[in-house]
Amino acid sequence: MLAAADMAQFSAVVETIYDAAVNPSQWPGAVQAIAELHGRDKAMLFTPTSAPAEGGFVFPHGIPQEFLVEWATRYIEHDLWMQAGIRRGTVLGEPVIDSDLVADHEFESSRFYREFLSRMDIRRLCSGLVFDATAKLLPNTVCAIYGGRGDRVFDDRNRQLHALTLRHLSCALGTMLHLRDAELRLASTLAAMDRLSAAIVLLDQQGAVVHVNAMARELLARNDGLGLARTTGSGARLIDRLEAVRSSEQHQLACCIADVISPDPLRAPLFSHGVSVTRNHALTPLLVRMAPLSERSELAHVDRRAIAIVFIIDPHRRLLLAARTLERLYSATPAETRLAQVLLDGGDKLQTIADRLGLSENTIKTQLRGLFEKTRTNRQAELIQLLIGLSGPG
Amino acid sequence: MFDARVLDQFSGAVECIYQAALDPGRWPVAVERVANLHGSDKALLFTPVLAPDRGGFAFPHGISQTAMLDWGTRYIDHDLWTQAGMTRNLTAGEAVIDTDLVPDSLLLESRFFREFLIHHDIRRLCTGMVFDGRAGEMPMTGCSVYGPPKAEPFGERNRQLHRLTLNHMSRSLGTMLRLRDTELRLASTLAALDRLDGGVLLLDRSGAVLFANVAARQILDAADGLSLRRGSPLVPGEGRLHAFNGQDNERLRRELTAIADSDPTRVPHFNHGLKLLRPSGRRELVLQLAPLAETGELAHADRHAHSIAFLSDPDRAAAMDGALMERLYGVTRAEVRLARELLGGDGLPEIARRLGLSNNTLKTQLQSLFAKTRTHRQADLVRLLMSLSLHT
Repeated sequence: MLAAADMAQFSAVVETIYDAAVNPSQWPGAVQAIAELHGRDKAMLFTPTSAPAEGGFVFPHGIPQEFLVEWATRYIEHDLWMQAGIRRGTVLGEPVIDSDLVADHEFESSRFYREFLSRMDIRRLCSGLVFDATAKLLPNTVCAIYGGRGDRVFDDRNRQLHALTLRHLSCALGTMLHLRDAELRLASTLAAMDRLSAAIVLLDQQGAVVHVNAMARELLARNDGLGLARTTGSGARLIDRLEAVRSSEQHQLACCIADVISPDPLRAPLFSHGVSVTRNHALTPLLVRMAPLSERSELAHVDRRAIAIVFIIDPHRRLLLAARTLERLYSATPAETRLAQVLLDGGDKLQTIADRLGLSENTIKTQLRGLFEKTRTNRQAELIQLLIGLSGPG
Repeated sequence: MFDARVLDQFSGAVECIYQAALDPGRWPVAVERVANLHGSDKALLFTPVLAPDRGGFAFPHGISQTAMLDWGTRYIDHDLWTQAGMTRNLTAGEAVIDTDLVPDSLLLESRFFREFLIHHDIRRLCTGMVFDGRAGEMPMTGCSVYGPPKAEPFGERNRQLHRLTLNHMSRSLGTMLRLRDTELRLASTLAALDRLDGGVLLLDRSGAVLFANVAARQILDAADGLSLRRGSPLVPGEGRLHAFNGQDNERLRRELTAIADSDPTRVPHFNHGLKLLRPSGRRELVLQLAPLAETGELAHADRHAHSIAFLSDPDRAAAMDGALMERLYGVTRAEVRLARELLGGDGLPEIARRLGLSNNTLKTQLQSLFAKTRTHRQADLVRLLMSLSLHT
């Protein structure tokens, strides 16, 4: 019979296990709770066949790091428990105790116990497999609880309790991997957004900014005509909104955002999903274009996913050619690459360019013909299109 | 006191609760197991103040759809239990039984009991708050277990057990939402990449394509120089890049290997680039590769993007938004048509011939385009037009 307190303790241990799944820094606490569930002070959750560098892990409780190092470097070949476990073939989720693996007299006379384990007063074991080699996502994983010479021997009650714990460890570690996988995929996709030459802002269905890529961050940080304003959204949550400095433009921008986040099928969008924004420090305005990304969701209060994309375009932004790209891809000479950049910067006639570079117009024309030939283009406008294409999406 | 079998049963129900975090289709099973813990065959996990069509949910076990509907449309205002629960302001993790909320005498006389509950063989209740709706992003969520008239009344043991169960439910629902939020954000970020005019591919460490945006898929589907070889359905990712030309393909392999080993913090952007010959004889495709910052260390979960590739087709004319041109720069329809032709790559004489207009007419339109867009040369105009040609 179990006291209600035992039930509550077991339940609390299970809570710490799943807490660690969503917050892996809490694994040591979960391992401690598992040890205490059996009234012991030493336990370990580990991957016996994979080192931490190979995707394995070790979470000890009550066992110092030096001791683990000593085991791995000097006693792993004398580890009778592990050898017996491998010989016997442990069954997933079925815990074993020390005497299942090695007879008491044999164990107590072994070098493994006399020279090594006894120094930590480790004499008893209750251990089980969380994952075996058939699990695709994780290496072999073991959870073991250790007891001293004077402690009560592990019995069927420990076995039963540990069998239940192992199932929760398996479920929790699976959850941890699933969560981590999804979070890594999101992080790497957001990192990809930062590599774009387009300035991109993503909005949720309240019009709040949920992501700003690197190029847009740089642009908005200047706060030249367009910036981010922090306000209070629904549910007292602090949110950032895109804001134009001039009030007439702010009105247009707000209408445009309203159109894109909640399109009214009966009304033509007033701003065709784009507005221009005047800048103080540049003659030409910024263009702000937007488009819906996905359907609105009904889960408004929990859902912060982006439903609209905003491109902030500086039509006269200087595009820098990656010089080596043109040289590597099209075997352009350094002189041709320099001319390509001048053409991309725009504005001047060939004669003016020649004068500025201190070259004859004929030399410039020869370089231009070289560029046309190598890139298989016929006209400056066509060459410019190709060069812009090389500078990446956006 | 509990017997050892109860611990097994409890542990199994808790396991089901956590499995539902990864697979929400399992919530009905978890709710059933929670009912069984109390020897009952009716239970409900639900958001009492948020309807399912507004982001709430209801996972019933042993309660018919008709009963749920009946409650929602006709008896919600007579529901003494929910009213008493609201008045008592139950906090998260708190569990109560029927008599804690409404005295038997009152319940048995009520319209709620006589017309509704008894009809569905419900007499007893053990309920509690998973979330009280006061903190965080979770709406108020309750979990109730129901007993028939002939069953033993619920008691302290049920309260205790239910209190433990509620804690696990709140953890599991929290994990479920965190996972769903991450997956939705991932999907919307990928949708954003689809809006780009240029081709974008995300590759894993082995060079397998994890994602190709719309523009990249158009180029790959044409299979003119570069295509996607579908992998085995057992291998994650969409497949592998394959260049038409043998030498190009070898260089592609080398570049992919090089980028797998490169250090993203030290390599300059896009030094890995290659030109790909096309069987159609069109101008070569350009593929540029760059590593992405390392985001994780766990070798066993390796489906995240390791590098990004930009794929461009110099022969593909940029799409132009004529309406936006008209609105932003006040250009005429005729001028928009000319701008579009210029993006096609031809010179004025060819365009004049094709449109059946005189060279002079086109020159006038071009001068006007220059003036309105503050550009001076065709090359500058093309630059401006291209910056407006996003996939929106």
